[in-house]
Amino acid sequence: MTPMIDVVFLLLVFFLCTASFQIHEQVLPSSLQIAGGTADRPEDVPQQLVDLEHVIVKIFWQEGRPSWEVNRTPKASLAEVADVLAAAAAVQVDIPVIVDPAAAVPVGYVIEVYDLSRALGFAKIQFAASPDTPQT
Amino acid sequence: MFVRRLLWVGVLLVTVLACGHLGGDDTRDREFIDGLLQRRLFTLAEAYCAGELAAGSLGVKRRATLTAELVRTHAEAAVQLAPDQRADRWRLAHQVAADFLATHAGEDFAAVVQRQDAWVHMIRGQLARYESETAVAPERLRATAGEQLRRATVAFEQLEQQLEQRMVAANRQPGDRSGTMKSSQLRILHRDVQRQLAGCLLNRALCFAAGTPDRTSALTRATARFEELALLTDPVDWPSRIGQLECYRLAQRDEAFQRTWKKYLAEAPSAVAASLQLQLAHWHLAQDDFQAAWQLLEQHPATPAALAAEWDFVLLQALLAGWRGEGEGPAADAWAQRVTRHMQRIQANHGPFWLRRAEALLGRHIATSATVDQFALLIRAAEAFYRAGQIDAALDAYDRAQQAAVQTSSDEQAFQAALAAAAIVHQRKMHSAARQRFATLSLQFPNHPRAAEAHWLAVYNQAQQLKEGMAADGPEYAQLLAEHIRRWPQGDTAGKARWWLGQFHAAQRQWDKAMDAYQDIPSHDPRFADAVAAIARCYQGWLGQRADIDPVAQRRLALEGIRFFDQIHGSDKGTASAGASLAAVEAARLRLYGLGAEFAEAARQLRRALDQTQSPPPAWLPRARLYLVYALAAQGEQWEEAHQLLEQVEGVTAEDLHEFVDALARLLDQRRTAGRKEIAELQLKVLDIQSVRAARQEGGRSKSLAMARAAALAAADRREAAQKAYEELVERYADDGLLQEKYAQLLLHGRQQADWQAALLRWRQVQRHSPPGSPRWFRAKYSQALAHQRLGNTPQAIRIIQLTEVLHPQLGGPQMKTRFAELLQRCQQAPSADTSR
Repeated sequence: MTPMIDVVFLLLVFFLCTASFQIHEQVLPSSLQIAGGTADRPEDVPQQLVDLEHVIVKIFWQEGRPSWEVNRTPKASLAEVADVLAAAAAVQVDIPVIVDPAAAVPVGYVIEVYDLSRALGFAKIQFAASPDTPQT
Repeated sequence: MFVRRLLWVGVLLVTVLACGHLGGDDTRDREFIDGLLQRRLFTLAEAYCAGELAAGSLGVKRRATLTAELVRTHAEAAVQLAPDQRADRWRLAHQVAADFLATHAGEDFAAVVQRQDAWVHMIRGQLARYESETAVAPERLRATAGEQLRRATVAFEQLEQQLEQRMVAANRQPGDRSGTMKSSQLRILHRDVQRQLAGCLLNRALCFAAGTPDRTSALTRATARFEELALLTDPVDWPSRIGQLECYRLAQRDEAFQRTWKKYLAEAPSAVAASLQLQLAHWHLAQDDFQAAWQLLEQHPATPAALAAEWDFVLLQALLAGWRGEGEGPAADAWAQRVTRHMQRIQANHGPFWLRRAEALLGRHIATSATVDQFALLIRAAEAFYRAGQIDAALDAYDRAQQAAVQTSSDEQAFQAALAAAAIVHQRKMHSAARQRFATLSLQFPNHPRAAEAHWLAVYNQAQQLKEGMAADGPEYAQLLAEHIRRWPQGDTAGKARWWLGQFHAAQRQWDKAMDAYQDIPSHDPRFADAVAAIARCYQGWLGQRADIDPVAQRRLALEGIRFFDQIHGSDKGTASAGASLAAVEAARLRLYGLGAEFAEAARQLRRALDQTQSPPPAWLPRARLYLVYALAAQGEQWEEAHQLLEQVEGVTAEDLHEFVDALARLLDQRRTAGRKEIAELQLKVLDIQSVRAARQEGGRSKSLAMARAAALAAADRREAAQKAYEELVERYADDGLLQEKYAQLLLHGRQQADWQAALLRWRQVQRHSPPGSPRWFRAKYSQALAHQRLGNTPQAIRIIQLTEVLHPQLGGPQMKTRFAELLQRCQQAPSADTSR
């Protein structure tokens, strides 16, 4: 007869070997970008990115519908936002993207833009906050 | 025997003649002075007395007499003057008496001068009492009257006691002594003093209202003194008897008055009878029996000269009472005619003092009677009211006089009456009322020779109202001026009206209306040159308003201005007037700065004006030379002449200097290659000229001039000096984006890597401080790409351009878009370092 403690230890080893964590959660950015500012100090920015403008996507919520703006240029739909992001990614994919949603915008639309940016290859995606919001 | 009788007759004759001569000087002096004062020849009387007193050999008696007469002369002269002119005369009268008393104190004859000095106080008090009857604020005058009469009373009482003591002393030591008064003389003087004292008390009584205890008390004292003096018979004191009757009348003791009057009339000599008749006339008036008073005065035989003035004054009172009694109608008009004739008589015969009293009396009657419509009387009353300070009553009387004149179709009289009333209001700075009066007057009588003058005064008062901040009257002011110009276009004030109208519209920034007004000023008007300068300012203001808004309209306006100024300058042949010289400069200015064209024509015009102008207005010469320099620089030729002209520039104003430097800077911006360096050299020269250095400090624009200098150094290819100038400027004005941009541009146009690297850093700063998407921001992005390209970092330049295009498709407008495209093309074709722009 096999002792119970042996069985338990065997099961424990088995689960330890097979367990895996979600990669996306590890790489989700936790720092928040102050709206209009930059989280990075100038001396930390890579040389080829110094003179390149950040991409700032603003999301508004009016009359139950979202609207978008990319670097102060209004966009009629998410598809247009995607076109601009794709063109920017074609120029330089490691420029920061800052997503600045208004307070009333449902989280789903914010995640949409985030996913779009990730899909296009942007790695540094930051969320804007007002200067009064304490940074975590 | 016969010889002895003859000898006695001769001695007697000589004695009589000698006594007559010795005793006659004083009487002759008095009579002579009386005659001069009756004729109001005060200066002659004063000169006579002063001349006689200056002789050192006078005895004390004659000296005292002459001093007393001099005091009387000053007092009589003061009485004839207007109230505000009398002070000096009163002071002189008292001063003369005081000087005599200081040197002859204690002497008998000093009493004569003391008496005269006290009499002056009494006259002053009496005069103040008369004037208080018609004054606006009688309290002050009554107080003055009371004070002067009190002083007179005290002085007379003191003198009375002194004389009594001297009379006692003289009785103890009879006989004539040199320098002393005889008993008889003392007695005469004593009686006179007592009479004057009674007169003072009577005047003091009249200072109080009828029925008051003060009046009754003073009247009682005066009556007692007069009654005592009236009892004298050697000689009879008729002045005191007259005074006694007056006291009875004022105290309303009618029975005593009648009884005493009849008694005195029976005894009185003809010279005194007139005074008694006068008292009876006063009594009739007090009884409201004007008919009896009038008949008594009108029909009585000729009066003594000394009484004539008072006689006529009382007659006037009777006439006014009769007029008042009749009310309206033909009978009242007849009385009015009598009053008019009688006023003329008083004016002709009795001097300013009695005329003023008569007019004051008339004024009181007119103020209480609304039916009076005789023009001459109303005018007299108005003048009397004005002199007495009763302005409202004066204006009312003038208005009534005007209406009376209008009813009789006497336009001239009506105009004069209305003008006088308006002038009073104008003098008192009541601008609104004055404007209304003058405007109404001028429009009511538009053909009168002084109508334009009256209307101009309306304009003036309206202007004063505006000046005091009554902004609501602005349009009315312009309308009034326009009306004045329309009605009297050729009048003396038309030019001034056009000038004021132009100034008004210019202040409202209504440039077209202002220019219309200024342009109507004829060339012979002394303000013509100022008008030309004002029109130029209007064009400047108008063009400034339309800048960047409507270029087509701006050009049209500039052409219109050029045509106008050319016309003025062109009409002058030979020597140019000030106006034509100004016009030439302004036409050139509009060509050069307003139109930005016709430089040759502007140069030709300026050369002609410089040759022709003999006496240029201030600041004209340096301005004309600066414009000519600009015209030559804009044509890109004759640089030597331009430099020579600059060296001749002196006394330029800060405003002209800044304008010239700004214009050259704009010209520099427009030129890419040809003439750029020469223009920059000109700009540096004008900034460095000694004579303009003071102007550089003025106007608070030293920064813009320093920037212009730095830009000129850069354009003149003096890189090091330009760089140093910019470094100093950016250090002082770190927040100035334009300055930072200019400096970064200078660095970018350098020839070395270090310059381009520094330029890149500068452009990054400019970009950071510029709003994203602004024109400066796009210039910064472009310049960063260009810097990278020159530094050999072509891929980075390409990335910058492409990313900017992705995120900002418009790329700051067509011009910038083209530049971005050209740079991108260059980068893609030749990625190595390229220093072309």
